[in-house]
Amino acid sequence: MEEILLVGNPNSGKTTLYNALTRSNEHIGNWHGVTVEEKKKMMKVKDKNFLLVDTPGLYSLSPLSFEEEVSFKIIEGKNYKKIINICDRNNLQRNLYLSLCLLEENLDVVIAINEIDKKVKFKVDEKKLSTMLGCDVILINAEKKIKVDALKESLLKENIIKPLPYLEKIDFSVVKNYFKDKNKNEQTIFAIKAFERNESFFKLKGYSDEEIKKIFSLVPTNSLEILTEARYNFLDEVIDKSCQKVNFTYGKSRLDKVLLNKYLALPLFLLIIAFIFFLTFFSLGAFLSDLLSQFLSLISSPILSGLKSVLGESWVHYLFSDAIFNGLSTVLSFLPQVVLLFFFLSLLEDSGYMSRIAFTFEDILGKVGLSGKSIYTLLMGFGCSTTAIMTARNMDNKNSKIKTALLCPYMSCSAKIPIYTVVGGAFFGASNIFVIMGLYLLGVVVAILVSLVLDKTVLKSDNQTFILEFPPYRVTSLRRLKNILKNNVKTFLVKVGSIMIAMNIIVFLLSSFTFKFQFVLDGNGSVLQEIGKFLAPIFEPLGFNNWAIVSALLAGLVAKEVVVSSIAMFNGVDYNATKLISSSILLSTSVVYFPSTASVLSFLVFCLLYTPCLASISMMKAEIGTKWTIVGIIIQLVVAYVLSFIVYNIALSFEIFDFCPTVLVILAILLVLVSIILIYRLIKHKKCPHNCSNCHRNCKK
Amino acid sequence: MMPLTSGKLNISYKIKSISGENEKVARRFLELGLIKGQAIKILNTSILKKVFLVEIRGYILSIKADLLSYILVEKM
Ligand SMILES: Nc1nc2c(ncn2[C@@H]2O[C@H](COP(=O)(O)OP(=O)(O)O)[C@@H](O)[C@H]2O)c(=O)[nH]1
Ligand SMILES: [Mg+2]
Repeated sequence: MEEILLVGNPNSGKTTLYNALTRSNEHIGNWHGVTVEEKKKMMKVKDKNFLLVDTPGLYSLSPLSFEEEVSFKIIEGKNYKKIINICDRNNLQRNLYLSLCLLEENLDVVIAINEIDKKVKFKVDEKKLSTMLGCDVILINAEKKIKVDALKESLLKENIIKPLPYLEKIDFSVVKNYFKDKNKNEQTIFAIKAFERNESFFKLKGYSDEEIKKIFSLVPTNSLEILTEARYNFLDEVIDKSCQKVNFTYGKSRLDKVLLNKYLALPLFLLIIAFIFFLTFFSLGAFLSDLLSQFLSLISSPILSGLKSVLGESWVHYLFSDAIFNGLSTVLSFLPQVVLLFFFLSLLEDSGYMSRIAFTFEDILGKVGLSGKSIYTLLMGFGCSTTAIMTARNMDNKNSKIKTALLCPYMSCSAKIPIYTVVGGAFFGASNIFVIMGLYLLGVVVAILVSLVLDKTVLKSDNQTFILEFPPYRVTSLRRLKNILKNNVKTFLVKVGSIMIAMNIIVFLLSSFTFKFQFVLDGNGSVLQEIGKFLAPIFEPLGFNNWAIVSALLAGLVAKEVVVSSIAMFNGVDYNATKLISSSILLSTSVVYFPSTASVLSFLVFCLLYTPCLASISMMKAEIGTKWTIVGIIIQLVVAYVLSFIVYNIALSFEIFDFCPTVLVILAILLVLVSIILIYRLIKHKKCPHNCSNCHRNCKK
Repeated sequence: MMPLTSGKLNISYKIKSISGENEKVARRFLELGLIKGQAIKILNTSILKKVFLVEIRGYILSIKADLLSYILVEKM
């Protein structure tokens, strides 16, 4: 099948158009570098089939980053029928720079100008543009699918290639002479590439370093400047003649006066995030969760009793009721929270606010070895680490990507909430909310510390070139809202939900069968229990050497949401995921398991910090490779063990004086103080001796 | 002439030259339209002033300070 390439600057709407043309649902985000690998899908034009290829964004045909290299190779491979070059109308001149690079190579291009924002009165004359550039130009709206059909039709046409006028004014003769055994067309292209000092191009064409050096010596030293100036001068003329000029700066907004303000940015950000968390985990999310579980228990009882009458009291029945059905209902009970959190964060991403946050905190996060974009992934981690780790792929810097993915699990995911509410609630009652807040905070602080250590040792941040276009604020359309919601539900249900249910089945099998494949109902003698008993002594120093707790933690390795139900099962309580609040039942029985409140605290800290579920481990392996995943697991286990030990001993020493709640408060205050000192030390930097306002200490005054 | 990093916020400067010290960076600057004589303006900086927002040719770029110091400007 013949291929059609979608090529354009980052954030110009390529993926949006790709989704529109192929009816797919690839991730779209209002920032740089969302698509990092090529994506292909079939597209029908009249009765011909084409393969549409979505490529990562690029600024020119001299690639600098890895993604640009990907696109560059596809374009130079010339293995396609036509290129759709999508340009953002709001920043037309800069976008057309890439178009010129494509046209100079005589590639068959149709330019699609994406009218992202109707409000901007920036009229573009397609016909004039078309005659000046010598290719088809069509104004489209990728999201609303306006004129997309006209674009499709133009794909069937052949382009009449016309020489670009500015090229005639540049003296290519010397270097053309070097390529005299090539045909006229190629001579010009190769000469342009020599002027661009485009190493990637000549390497791709099989030239040796020696030859490349020779070629570059034939052009003037400022050849690139000559060429870019000629291109931009031509573009000035093109824009002048074909567009009605309006004086505006794309991406500039009065909102930024507030949102990017040095003093307001952080408090506002915290406020917005607090509001989102409130909506997700308390008001709206909790309400939806309740509604869903009520609905589930309503439909589950007749189905389960029906199953029982068919299957009897066999293990198959329990497989269905305990593993599959309970698994399904836990997945569904998290669904509202996870989806809501992701929905709000996607909204922030799409509106352009996330890019502002990434910008404002770029340098602070840089100090702890992360990049501004990490914040998005890390926030996602509070919903579900597995899905969050997937978003780390958008990071432009490999080391920050690995670090971000490794730190994600420290953001306490929503599957851990039942552990905190049920186990913590049973022991701390009303003050449990402070315990939970303390745990969340602890997770963040540990993440910062781990990141600092990694940054200073094995995962130094490589100082990458950092020149990015700043995206504008965008109002997300209803259509996009619907898509975001649909996407989030789908990812969570399909990618995460299916693994979670599978894991539930595994835990069920391990906790219901003995090593001799005998079925046991209460977990007594099961594989899980045996391993739990074997490992229990290791947890002695942490205050909970009981096999039931250890077995529950083991089950938690597979999936965090089964920790509570495992404790219940080993307690002989008929635990139902739809009754998360019934901690009093647990309380009565699990007191046996936790000898002191100190050991409960230590258990909760361990749950917060130890290895995430198998689903996120497998995602980590896919995203950052086996080596780093193993390193991550080791770090997590060690950190969890050490911190639980510390917490247990501190709490224990206070418990002697019967001060447990006070311990928490003191611990929390200490943590906050430590983090404030840390952040302060990070922010403090030496003043420039010359006292200039914006200098970076290296000014040469 | 001075590096853009020591410029003031919201004041237009004219690009005088771009140091070729880092060839990759100089190339990207040119490709993005930062050529001699072009007007450039600092709009904002990140908290530690390690990243700058600059306005050029009607759009905004975010650029790390150490790269920005390659751009030499003078007052309009
Ligand atoms: N309102 C509107 N927004 C658009 C349109 N096309 C793209 N966008 C937005 O532009 C941003 C970048 O889009 P995307 O397709 O990811 O660009 P890519 O980086 O070129 O693949 C997203 O925030 C989109 O929602 C459009 O036609 N109308
Ligand atoms: Mg894309």
